Amino acid sequence: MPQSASAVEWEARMSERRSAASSDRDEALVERHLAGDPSAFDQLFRRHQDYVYNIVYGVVGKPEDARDITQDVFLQAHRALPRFRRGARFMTWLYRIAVNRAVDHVRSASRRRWLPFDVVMRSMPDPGEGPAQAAEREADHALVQRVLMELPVQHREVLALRYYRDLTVEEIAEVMGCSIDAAKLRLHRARARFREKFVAIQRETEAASAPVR
Amino acid sequence: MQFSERQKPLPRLCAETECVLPAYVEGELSPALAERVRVHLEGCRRCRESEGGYRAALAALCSAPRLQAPDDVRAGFHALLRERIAREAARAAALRWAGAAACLLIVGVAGARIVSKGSDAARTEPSPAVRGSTLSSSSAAPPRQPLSSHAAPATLGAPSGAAGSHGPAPLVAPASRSSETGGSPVVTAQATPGADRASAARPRGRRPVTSVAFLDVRDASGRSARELLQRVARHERLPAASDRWPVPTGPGSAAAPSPDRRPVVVAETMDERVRLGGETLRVTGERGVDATGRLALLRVRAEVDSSPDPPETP
Repeated sequence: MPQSASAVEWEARMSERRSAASSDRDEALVERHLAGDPSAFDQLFRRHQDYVYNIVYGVVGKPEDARDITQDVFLQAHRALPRFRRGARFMTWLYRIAVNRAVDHVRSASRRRWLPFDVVMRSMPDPGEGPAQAAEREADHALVQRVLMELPVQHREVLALRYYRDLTVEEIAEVMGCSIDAAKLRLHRARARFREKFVAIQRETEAASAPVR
Repeated sequence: MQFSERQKPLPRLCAETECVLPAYVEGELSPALAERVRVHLEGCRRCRESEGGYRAALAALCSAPRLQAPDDVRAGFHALLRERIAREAARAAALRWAGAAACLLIVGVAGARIVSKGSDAARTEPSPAVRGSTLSSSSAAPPRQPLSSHAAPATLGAPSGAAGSHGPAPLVAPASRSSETGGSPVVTAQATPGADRASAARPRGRRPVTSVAFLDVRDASGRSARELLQRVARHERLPAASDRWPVPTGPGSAAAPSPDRRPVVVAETMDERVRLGGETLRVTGERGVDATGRLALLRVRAEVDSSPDPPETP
């Protein structure tokens, strides 16, 4: 399908351009912040707060914790920004802080047991979506979160970066501080484990909902 | 040995396909490799099932809704940021004050060491031409007290009206003044021709705490020990006095009647060289307090020394 392939390539190129442009703006805001502009960091916050929140939520699975950790991530970034290495990408630097904080939180709270989908979550509004569709979407999200929370934390972080922030393998490698091949391997293992858990839970659900004869 | 369906090892091609299935589903394989996988999937039911599982799982993952950060995240962040900035500012201010205090302490200690080294050098080489005089004071609170008259002809000059009908306030011997002063520091002077010998007999290695502040303690007539020392420097003859004075008590004195010799603790000593009136004085002194912590003894000895100054300590 040459047409489809070219469309995919076009989309990939546009995505790359958007990412590069966004990164350029990030670095300009960092420069302004370091030069003393008090509004620059607030703009960085507004731009990345949803992404950071989603990544953290994908790892910790609890909205209250995700909110607190998101605040901590930006506080830590604000404190460490004077030491930010020029030439590095702010986005991957910030997501690395987010992943580390979320993983630390999960490991420190590993003794606690909780249900990840017992709270009301507010997702991005989808115009034109009916109540039934919204309920179905929330149920799918709850299933995905349930599967994610049954995975080891190192799988959660790479899946959150790949699917909750749409990072490329190269960007994931940059965030996680590893080589591209190592990032590919981690992503492959995480996908495989996710698929196993997902299929198993789906079968359990189907068996539970099947009529008893 | 029979394997169950799940226990059977995968054929080599199935194992390879399993490794690349997620990337195949995500469209991340090269066209050539993707074609090989597609051909294999057409003929392998187990790998097709696996591919179906990946498609369902990754589709659910991809379609998971993106959440919005709660509204209070930003407000909470700014509140935490303000709190942290205020905390760091307070800590920086405390550090600045601590640094300034440390600098003052270092300067004070260094100055005291320099002065005490200079006085040590003067002690080890006593001048043959020393005229010694001792000023001593004993007091009970309050510290301000007019200088009393003394029968001896030598006086230290007139007070500025504080002595009232006593006229000029000379230095006073203890026996003649205790009844007329109300418990306050009384400064007298004592000529001690053998002061150089007494100084030489002081144990070496003693490093007195140096302070000149109490040289400026004034009695009620406004006269300070420093001014008395200036008279010493002008070669005025001074009356003799005993080391310890009975604590003066009088009518209206706030101090309770006390025995003649109240316990006195030497709280501070000094030993330094000062230049007054073109001459060099070596000044040693003690300041004592009584049991209540009030100033009870002030003794200053001055030796007018015409020997050359010792080399300065760098």
